[in-house]
Amino acid sequence: MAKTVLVVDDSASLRQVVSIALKGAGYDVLEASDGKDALSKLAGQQRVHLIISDVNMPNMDGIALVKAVKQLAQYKFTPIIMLTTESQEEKKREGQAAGAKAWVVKPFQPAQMLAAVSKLLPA
Amino acid sequence: MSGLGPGADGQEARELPGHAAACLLLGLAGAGGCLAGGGLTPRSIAAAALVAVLSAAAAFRAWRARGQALAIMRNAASGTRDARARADRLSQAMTARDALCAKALPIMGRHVASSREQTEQSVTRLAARFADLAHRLESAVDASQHAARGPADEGNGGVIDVLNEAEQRLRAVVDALETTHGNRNAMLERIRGLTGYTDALKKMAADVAAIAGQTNLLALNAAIEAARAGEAGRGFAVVADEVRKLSNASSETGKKMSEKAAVIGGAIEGALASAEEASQRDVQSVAHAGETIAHVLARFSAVATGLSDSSALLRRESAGIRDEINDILVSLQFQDRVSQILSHVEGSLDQLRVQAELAHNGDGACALPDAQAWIEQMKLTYATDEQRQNHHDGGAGAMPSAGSEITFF
Repeated sequence: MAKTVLVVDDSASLRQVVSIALKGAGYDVLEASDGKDALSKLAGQQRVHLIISDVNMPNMDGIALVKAVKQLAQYKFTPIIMLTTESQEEKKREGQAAGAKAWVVKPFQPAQMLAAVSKLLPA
Repeated sequence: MSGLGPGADGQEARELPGHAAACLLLGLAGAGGCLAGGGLTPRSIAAAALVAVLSAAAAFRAWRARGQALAIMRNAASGTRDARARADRLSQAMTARDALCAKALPIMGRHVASSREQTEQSVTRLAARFADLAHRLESAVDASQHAARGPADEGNGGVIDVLNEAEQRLRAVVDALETTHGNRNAMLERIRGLTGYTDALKKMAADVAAIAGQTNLLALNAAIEAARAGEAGRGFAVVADEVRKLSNASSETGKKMSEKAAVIGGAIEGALASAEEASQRDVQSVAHAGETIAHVLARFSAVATGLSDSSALLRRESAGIRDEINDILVSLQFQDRVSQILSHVEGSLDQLRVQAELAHNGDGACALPDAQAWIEQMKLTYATDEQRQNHHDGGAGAMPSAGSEITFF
């Protein structure tokens, strides 16, 4: 069965670019426009196996989302990839401290993103 | 700063904000023009973003100058009467400028917001259309591959497989024809062997006829001898007559046997002749069938090879196009960066507006923030390297190339 990836970004075009790459590689994709939306998607029926999240978003940012996800019993160990224009080290350390598994700087190459996803989501 | 006279500072303060506002308006008009006129190209959007950011920077410089002017104003207030009068004029001018900013900044903010939204919508549509293209291309390639080779995992149904199967089956048909032909030849050989027997039969019939002739001659002699013996030979004469009748009958039988043997021989020869003729025709038609099949298969094979080649070409080309589309999708990520930068400009413009409104509505004692602190605060909220570069010298150029950085924790 195809694994499901939740893509969280306030930019619809970026969500689309990510989800095209993921769908092309055979993953199911759920999309959310910010941290709060992502949490409501995680509360839904479909089981999510990996989360790719932007950092700077309205309502609830990516770091806060990671912290919130770590509080969910069902998703405590779900790998999270941060996908952001932010390349500063202190931001990365913030993401790492919150519990993210990888930090991908935008713009990204779909192939590299997929490699990161499959590394964190072995079949 | 302290070396400059209040008048000179006032002059600077009057001109700079006006100049900055003009810059901003021109910049945004230019950015809008780029977006409206040339379509949404990455270049035009990046240019629009750059213009907007530079304009904002100019506005900040103006505000900084204004802060300096206010400091001078405070000094002036505690100074001479002349200076106080100048300060009053300056204060009026600044109040007018605050009003201008309070009105102009929201408009600029809306321009930036609508540029950002338009780009976002267009890029999202573009990405969807490219994805659709890639998907349709993939279906076409699959269909073509299916036609040429059949599904990769099943190995049947494709033209090549049909060709191979047809070749096998047709070869079996030709083989069967050749086997039949071989069987018929064996049968003909055996029939040809029968003609030897009919010859022997004819000879035996001739022997019967010869024996009958001799017997007839013997019977004739016996009859003559019986006649010469007179009354005593009468009985023998009857026997001799019977023997002569028998020999005549034997002679008839021999003749009939001879005739029948000739008829049989003729029939066999006729049958052999027509069978041989048919066999010749069979050889020709089997050869012809073989040639025709080979010809048809060759043509079929040429078509199938062509189809397979073009399918392979299509596959290669589509892989190339897929890579291109991937590159395009990477390039479309510019929108996300532009959007972040523009959002930031939008936010800063809004904060400026709030400050301008406060200053405008206030008592002139002015709660403007410290310019340096304001600028530092802006710097803290940047998310991209371009913003940081622009903040310092405006030297930021293109979006960084994709795929440079992945860190696993």
